[in-house]
Amino acid sequence: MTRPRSFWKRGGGVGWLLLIGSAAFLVALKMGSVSIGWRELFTILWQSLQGRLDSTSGRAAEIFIFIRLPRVLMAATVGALLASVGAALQALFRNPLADPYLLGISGGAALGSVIGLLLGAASPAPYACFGAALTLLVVLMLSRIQGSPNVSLMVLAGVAIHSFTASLLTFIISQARSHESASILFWLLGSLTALPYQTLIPLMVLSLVGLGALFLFGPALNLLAHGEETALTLGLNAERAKWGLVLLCALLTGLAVTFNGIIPFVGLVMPHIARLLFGSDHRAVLPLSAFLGAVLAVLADAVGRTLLAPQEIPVGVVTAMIGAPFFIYILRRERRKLL
Amino acid sequence: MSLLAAESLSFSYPSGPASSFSLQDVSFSMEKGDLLGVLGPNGSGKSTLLRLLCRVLKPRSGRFTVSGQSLEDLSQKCAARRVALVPQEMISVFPVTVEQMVSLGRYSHGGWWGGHTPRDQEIVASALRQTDLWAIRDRLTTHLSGGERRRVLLARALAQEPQVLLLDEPTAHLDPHHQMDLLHLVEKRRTENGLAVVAVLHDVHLAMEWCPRSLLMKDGRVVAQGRTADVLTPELLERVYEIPVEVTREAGTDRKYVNFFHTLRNQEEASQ
Repeated sequence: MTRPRSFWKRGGGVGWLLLIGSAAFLVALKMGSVSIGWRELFTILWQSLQGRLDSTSGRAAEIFIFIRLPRVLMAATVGALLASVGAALQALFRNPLADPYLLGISGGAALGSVIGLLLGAASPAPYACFGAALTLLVVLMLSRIQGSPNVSLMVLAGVAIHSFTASLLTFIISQARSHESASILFWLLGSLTALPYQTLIPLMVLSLVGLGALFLFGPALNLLAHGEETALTLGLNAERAKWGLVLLCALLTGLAVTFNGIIPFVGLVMPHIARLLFGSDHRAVLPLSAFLGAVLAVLADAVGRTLLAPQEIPVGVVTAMIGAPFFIYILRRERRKLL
Repeated sequence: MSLLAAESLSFSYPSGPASSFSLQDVSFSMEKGDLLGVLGPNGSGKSTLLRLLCRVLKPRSGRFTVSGQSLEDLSQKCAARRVALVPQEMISVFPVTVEQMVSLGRYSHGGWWGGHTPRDQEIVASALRQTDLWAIRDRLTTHLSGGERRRVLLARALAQEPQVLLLDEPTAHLDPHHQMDLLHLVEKRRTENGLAVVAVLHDVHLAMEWCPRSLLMKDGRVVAQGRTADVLTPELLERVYEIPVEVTREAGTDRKYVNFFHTLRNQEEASQ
């Protein structure tokens, strides 16, 4: 085997990715129950870049500004959050099956934020982050064998925790009034309903800061991927890095879930694809996973919006349809190690 | 002042199946270029000692100093520039190239982003050449043989430019050819660069042939240490390994051979 995919490493890949990314972004902006023509889309984009866009610019412009754009931005942010958290968890726990959804962290965050909403909190975000942190800690405690987390146990513990939080959520939904429960359910399944800009922008800024902080752990993850003891002997303060990462991953998952419920498998699939393309250097894997996660979420949302238009398929359903077969593929590839 | 000194190191595991075990009062000192073999039966505390020396575990009491500085007072990075470990195996979940793996040894010398200066690259290249890995530096570590993997781990430790090298059973799972290759490499760095080497060994013969000094452990205590010929005596070995030992002397020389396997032969004879 030679140096993996030197073409990608030389930077040719980055150009391709940017091209794919912007194409996905444009397609997602165009698609939906009301399709915006290409010419119209570019006119609106051009006008908005010049700052000449306002409510008088027509119906298409209105849909673009108040529905399509916030939704695409949100999908991109959530996808980036989940995929980079997945990449970090996979390296930290040396577990190719780690994913905020599979480990039950998303479920914990969802339960937290629903409880927050029921308590009448101004923003469910802190509750979601707390729920995420709590479930991650419980999963870690349950999956330890002689001090180090076991790959298979971790996924099993995640399933158990997920079922537990899901049953509590179902209970809450069954007790809620019908219109409330429908909206909670739709949000849980990862509906990307457009948030108003005054909510969207703070959440996005927070997410970007968090992502930046996570990317800084790239060199540490390169060491931790070979085991905590190895990382220690190579000069990393492994304990500090590990808890920093756990906390950050919980916060970012909490944010993603606050945005729009549980979107499964984005965090599982995209890091693997990033590694296939660029190798296992986490200084590159983290930002790349974020980028690919953003593209996947944006496209999955666009598909969900158009496939049965005017009805919507929640984005979580679309990603699960892509992700579950991929999960089985990884499972088969890793089965010898898991037994 | 000696290069490194363990001063009455003691340790016990706080909980779990190993909590009944404790390491007590282990002391030794070494100079530049010294080689110390650490021997003892399973569970005697060899691995615990090694993990204390590379800061994976923290001693309950006592200290380990390198050039007079206690390792506990240093940052993790500073410690990794002084002491490097060659573990028995590598855990690679996500494949990296041989070169990437060896480059990890430079983490303790670099900035926080782990970027590599020309000097870092030079040292990694020289570690790869010395361990005969240069030709396969682009190969993935998951595609290597056992001998190659061990050489990668040694190269990574050498890239740390340590003053002390810790070897965890360097010859385990290697065929004789690769065993000798690895030992020659370590010997070269020891004699040429004054690297001090602590090697945990299971093979008593190897210790007799290779190590000028040995430390014999049992139940977390040092039974004897000093010149290998004085430490690995039949009496002490019998006491420590709890098995009768046969010692033969090569005709006309001072070389002694220890044999544990004669018990097997005796058993066979008895059953016939």
